[in-house]
Amino acid sequence: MLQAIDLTKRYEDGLLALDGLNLTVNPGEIFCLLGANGAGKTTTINLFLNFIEPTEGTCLVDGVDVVREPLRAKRLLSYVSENVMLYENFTARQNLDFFAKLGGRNGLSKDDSYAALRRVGLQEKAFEQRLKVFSKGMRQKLGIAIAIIKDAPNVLLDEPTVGLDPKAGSEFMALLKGLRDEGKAIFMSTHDVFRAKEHADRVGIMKEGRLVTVRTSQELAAENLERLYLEYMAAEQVA
Amino acid sequence: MIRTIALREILEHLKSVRVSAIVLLVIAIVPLAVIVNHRAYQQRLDNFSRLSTGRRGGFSMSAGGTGGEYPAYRRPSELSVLVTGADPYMPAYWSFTANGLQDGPPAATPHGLAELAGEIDLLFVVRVVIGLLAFLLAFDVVAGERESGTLKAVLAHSVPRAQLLLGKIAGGSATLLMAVLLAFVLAMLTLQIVHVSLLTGRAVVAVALFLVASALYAIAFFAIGTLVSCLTASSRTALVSLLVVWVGFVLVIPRLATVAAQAIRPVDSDQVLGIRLREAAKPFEDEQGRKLEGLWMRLSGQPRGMINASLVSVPVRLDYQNQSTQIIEDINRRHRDAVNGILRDQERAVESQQALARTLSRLSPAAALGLAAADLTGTGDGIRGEWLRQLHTKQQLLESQLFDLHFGMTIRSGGSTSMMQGDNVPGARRPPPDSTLSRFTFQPPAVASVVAGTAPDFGVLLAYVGLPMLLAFFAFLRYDVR
Repeated sequence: MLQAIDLTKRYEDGLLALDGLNLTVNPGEIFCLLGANGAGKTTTINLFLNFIEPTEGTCLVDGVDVVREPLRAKRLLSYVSENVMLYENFTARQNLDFFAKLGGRNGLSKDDSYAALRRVGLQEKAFEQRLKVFSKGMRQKLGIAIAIIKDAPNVLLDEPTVGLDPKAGSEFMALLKGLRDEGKAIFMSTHDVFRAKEHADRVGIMKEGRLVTVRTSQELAAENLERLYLEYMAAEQVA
Repeated sequence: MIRTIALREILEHLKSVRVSAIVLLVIAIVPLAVIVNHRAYQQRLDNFSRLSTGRRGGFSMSAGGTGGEYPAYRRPSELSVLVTGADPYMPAYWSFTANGLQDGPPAATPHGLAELAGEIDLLFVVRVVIGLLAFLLAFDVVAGERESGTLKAVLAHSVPRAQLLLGKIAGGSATLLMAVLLAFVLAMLTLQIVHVSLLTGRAVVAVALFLVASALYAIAFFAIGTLVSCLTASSRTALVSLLVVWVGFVLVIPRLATVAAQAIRPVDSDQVLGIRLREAAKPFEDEQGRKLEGLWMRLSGQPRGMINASLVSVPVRLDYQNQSTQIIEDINRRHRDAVNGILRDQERAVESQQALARTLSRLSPAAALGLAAADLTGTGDGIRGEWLRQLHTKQQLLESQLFDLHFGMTIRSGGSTSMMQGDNVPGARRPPPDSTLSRFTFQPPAVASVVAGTAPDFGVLLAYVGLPMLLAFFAFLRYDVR
């Protein structure tokens, strides 16, 4: 479970990137956070990863405070970025093995690695290919494979479907659903209103560092999420 | 964790084009440099053999004192095939003379291009090529991974930053050690091919410590590179900064140190020294002429002018001989003391200037490596200083045994000086036979003292390993990975 409690981040230049965010992502749930560039989505993820420290408030990962116990919190987290950046000179399996070891999975067999790579739908011939030749879709799949191998109960994704073609995007979301069904808490920042509506259990809209609304999938079934999003974006001031 | 990260770093480095390029460069340069330096060494050795067997030197008596020269030949250092150092530029021999210790010509003709570009030897490969490789491996070790996003991917896992950096430094250092070892192994194999064996205890210790110094140097450069990479957000900025640092360390500081030392502690030129010595000699020459003339006139009653010594009785001649010898030897000793005082001052000034240059140059790890390598291989200032120390001791011995003594009768008449050989004067002192003047043999300094002499350089290298590493850790703990 991911929890943000009164989370505020003000940068050194005075910019208020996040303003009193309260948010919970439960196990077995996909939470999509929508927002324009600079709304505070990535700042939220960076706070959960302890790349930056909050000005106020707390981030909890399964009850572990990420500031006080960052390493313990990271053991409970997997992270997939917009562009999964791994080591270009290494093959998919070498990258998987390396990050598995960082995640505490030592002694991963070739079969284990191949099984994870197969599960995310990566072509067999790509297993031993260097990442230099990988498309973005293939990289995203490898990123998910690393998360699967790590088997952390919480997954953070920062705009993972940007630049993916419809088929790759759809395959990616199917993988996320699989993780959700395993009981993982999934937090995904995105601009993709359609995928958020289709796959998320809850959707939040963030503007200027504040979470302005949260809708469940049931509520969204009766609403036009795109219109809702545009209305919030057009609003002069956040209440 | 550290091992996992270090192994990945090693693999990454070994797969990179920059390592391949530098390794090819090492493979091309090292054997060539060893072969060329071996030929040059062989030539110097041949010259040494020819000189030391063909020309023994000797002494002769002439008016006013003992003349001639007695050369002490310097055998070139065998290890100059690895570290050329100052070996070709040190004198091929020194001469003990009545006018003091004289430098012979350099062992090899100075090569303009080599002076300009520096000698190409194993030290050059380590100092320049592997130093550059260290920076090329280090510049993007943090900043580059930040740009590519992999740093974020790694730190999203439960990896302590200190361990991550330690793993990176361990991996980079291991890669560099492989490059250093490759250079040394290639050098040793090439020496085998040209039938040079360095299996003497002294040579093994020297090469082993040179290897250790080279390893420290490579790690020091990697640590500096890592620090710069931790202080910059862009790998391009890090690379440019490191290239400037490389130029400063390898090319500028060692040369600037000498110039600065010359400015801070200037030393008289040879011309000025010559003038000072001539000026110092003049009062003694005048005093000797005056006293001998006075003595002769007092004993013989002969007026100044042409003298027929045979007209003077033997007892008077013997009396003159005894008293004039005392006068001459006394003046010689005082003159020698004055000259030695001037030369000692000059040597102290030169030593002080060189010590300052060495100290200043140690701001650069490249200079520290060069100084340590040259001293270990017997091609640096250390061996030159030891030669001069032993030569001066021998020169002083010869002065007391030979140069300051007066043999025969010297009569000053008008502006000219004539001498009566001791053979013509009954009871006159004769010079000792050449065989009783023990030959000069250079005693190489003990290995332990050579090693102890390199302690400051090893200290500098260790400091350059430790300090940047420590600073890099602090910088990386605060590094913004976003």
